[in-house]
Amino acid sequence: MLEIKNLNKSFGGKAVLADLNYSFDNGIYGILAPNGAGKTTLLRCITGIYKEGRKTVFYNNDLLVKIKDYNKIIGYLPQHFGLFKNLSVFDALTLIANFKGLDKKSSRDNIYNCLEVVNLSSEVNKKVRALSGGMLRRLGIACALLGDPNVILLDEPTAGLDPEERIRFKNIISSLSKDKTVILSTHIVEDVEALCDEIIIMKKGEIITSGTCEQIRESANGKVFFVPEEILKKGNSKYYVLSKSIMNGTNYVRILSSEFAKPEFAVSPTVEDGYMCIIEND
Amino acid sequence: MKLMRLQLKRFVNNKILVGIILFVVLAFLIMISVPLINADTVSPLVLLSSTLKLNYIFAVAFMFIAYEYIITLKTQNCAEYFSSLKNGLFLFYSSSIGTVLLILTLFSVITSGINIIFYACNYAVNKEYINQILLNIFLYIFLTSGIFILIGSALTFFKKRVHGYAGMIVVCLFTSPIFGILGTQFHSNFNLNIYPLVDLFDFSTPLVDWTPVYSFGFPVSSYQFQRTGVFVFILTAILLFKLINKQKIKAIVLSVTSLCVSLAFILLYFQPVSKVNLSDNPINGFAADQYYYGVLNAEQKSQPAEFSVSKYKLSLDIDRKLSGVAELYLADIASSELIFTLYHGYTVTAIFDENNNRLKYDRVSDYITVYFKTVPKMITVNYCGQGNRFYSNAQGISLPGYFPFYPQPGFKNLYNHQEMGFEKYEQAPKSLYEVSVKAPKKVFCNLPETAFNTFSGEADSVTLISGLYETAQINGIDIVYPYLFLTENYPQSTMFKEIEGFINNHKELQKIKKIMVVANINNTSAYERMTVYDDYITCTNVVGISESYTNQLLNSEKKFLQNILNLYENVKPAYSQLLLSAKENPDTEQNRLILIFDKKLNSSGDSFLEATKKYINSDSTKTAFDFLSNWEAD
Repeated sequence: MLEIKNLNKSFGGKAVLADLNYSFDNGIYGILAPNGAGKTTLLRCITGIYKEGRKTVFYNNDLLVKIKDYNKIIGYLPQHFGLFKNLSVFDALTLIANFKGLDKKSSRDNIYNCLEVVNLSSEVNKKVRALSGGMLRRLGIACALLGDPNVILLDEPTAGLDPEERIRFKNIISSLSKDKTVILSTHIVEDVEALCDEIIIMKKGEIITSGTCEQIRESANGKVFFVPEEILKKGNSKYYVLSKSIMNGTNYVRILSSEFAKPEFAVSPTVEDGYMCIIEND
Repeated sequence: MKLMRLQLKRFVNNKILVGIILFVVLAFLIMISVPLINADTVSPLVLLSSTLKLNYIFAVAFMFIAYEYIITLKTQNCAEYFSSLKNGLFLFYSSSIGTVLLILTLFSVITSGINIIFYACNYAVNKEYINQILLNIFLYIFLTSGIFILIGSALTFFKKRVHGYAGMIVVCLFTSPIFGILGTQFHSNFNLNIYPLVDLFDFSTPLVDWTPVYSFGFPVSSYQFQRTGVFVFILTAILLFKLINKQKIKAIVLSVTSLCVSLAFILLYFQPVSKVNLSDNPINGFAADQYYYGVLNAEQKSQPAEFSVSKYKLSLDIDRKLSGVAELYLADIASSELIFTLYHGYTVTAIFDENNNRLKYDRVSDYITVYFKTVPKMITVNYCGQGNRFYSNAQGISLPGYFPFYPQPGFKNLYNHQEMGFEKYEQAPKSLYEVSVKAPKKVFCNLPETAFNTFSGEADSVTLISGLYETAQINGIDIVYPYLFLTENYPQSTMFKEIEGFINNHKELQKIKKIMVVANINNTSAYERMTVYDDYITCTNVVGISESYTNQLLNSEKKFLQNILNLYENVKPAYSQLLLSAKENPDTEQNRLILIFDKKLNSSGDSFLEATKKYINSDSTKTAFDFLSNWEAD
């Protein structure tokens, strides 16, 4: 079990993470938050890149950074991932395996397994510089998976990927063993909805809520409306525009409001509606 | 091992880095090509000098290589990933630095190999010089470039590349020989001696721009290794502090320990040391004596001693500098004080009489006056220090008999301004000497050796030399000479023939038992190039030994006259220039001589020239001024 206890982090006096506490069991967790809410900072604290995490993050009740096999417990894919471009995919992974302290004999098999998982087996001899952006992110996942770690941290893993690569990525994450803790941070609700057992919503450095997709969705129950724009203009209730669309020549607006009193326009909320409801209500 | 192999692969796949390595190798090959082509005329020291000449360029190149090799961590977005691993950054940096050091090692091995092979092919191998080659390359190529590799690595901590490059430029400025100019500027403009600081940052190989000192080679003394230690441990402290990022206490402990070691090295480095220094540092560079006696106008005087020394017992400990205990057994004391000459570079720490009573003494420049209440039979002088041009350290010794490196009775006028060197040696009465030298290398002395580095016998002086020397015997005369001076064009047989011819042509030298070739820095004085003692000779070079002998026979006034004559006969424009400047400033003694010379020359022509030549080559003790003033055409 991965635990965060009283984690604080500030940059130049400005608090970025404020007294965070959370326990992660096995399963896939999605940290959903707007940009600048502290997702990356939280992951960097867990990995010990920021010193504040070195005294506040525990794994099975031991301080994470003190654990001897730390490199075999944590697998991390940073938001801006790169590897040495003039090495081949295989050599780059061998280099990482060496840094992780993997057993010489098993590292080769481990590398091929990881490459298979991320569907890069055919690129094994290609230079890193020759990989596309999507392939590079998959290589990053392979790096994170090397050594079969129990905790996998993925920071914005789908950012900048085309739809095909995003589907591929989702398949990879779904295929991971269920006895691991996977934490992925993103601001793309769709990814979280498709993958995560539990969603953690952060805002301004705090975890404001967490729950399953259903629980998040439910928080917006009765607050989401799909209303013709004309009707909306006539009323004077407060609302938050989720999206706009045109149907049969009529402008419709999907809104989030706890004051709008026309239940005939109410629609079932999505996870994204729930997320927006939580973020905007807070 | 696999990590290093992969890091090496990463290096080899980088075209820029490989390009710089090729540039380094090419520069090295160009530098050594001339001595290699002229193998029959050059000494192996010349090849070594060419190898070491570009050491600073190599070091800067390796700094750039290390920076560019490691900065890929940031430019290729790998830094965050490696930071997330336990000891990831530390391992990355250490393996990257290890890889560049491996390449540097390979380069050092190749340069050493070429030098050793060249030496072995042309000379009878002497292990001592092989050690010198290895130490020189280890110090000036491997360690110096190693420091710059660490600097390049540390500069990658700057967030922006432009800052890293600015850092490299600043390092280049502060460590380049150009920085040395600051020492001269500070000294001449503000009378501030910042030379020790300048020397600390000077990473170029000393002496390589000069004719090699064949008996010494290039300095590889402990102080240089200590200087290297200062930088290696400061940089290690920085690297450890930044890289052990997940165990801060460990990082702090290791960094502070490194800094302490560095501090220890810096204290050791600044301890007094006898250097072979050919820099323009006026205080202890090649012109130190000119500065001391000429610019600072240190007192010089001549006064015979009113006592004699029947026996000297000298115990010298030579490592960084000379520490000596001189026991002088006195006789015929006819004055109330004892006067001695000891070169000003040596500090007297105490003087005792035979009953171990401390004696009072005064010290002014080279002169010591010892006071006593009861007439001592023996005094012990404890002293330590170093000569400027006459070195004495673990690598070599150059202490000729005319140089007072031990207390010599009487006040002696040491410096000859005209010759810009030491005054003509005047033979002292013979005494018994017992000399023991504690030095790591074999020491050669004019006295017979009784045990290793222990000498005893009767002589008028003591000369001690050590370094890259060999001995030989020609017609019963022992020759101690620097073996690296010999080349295919100037083999041992030619040297022997030259010495044989010289001795045979000078019957007055029949008493000579030993000829010692003494290394000397900036030996402009004819009296330093050759000195004749009671039963031995010291000279700075065997080539032209007869000419050196003739030159040292003349007193300085005759020599001056001979120089004017030479200029008049051989370099007329220079003579005219000399005359012009003499007319502008006719008040100095030398200029007065020039003007009288010219006047007589104009009035009497060839007959005057003939008479002058006759005077120069005669035994006449008349001063040049007297000769010129009194000479009249028949």
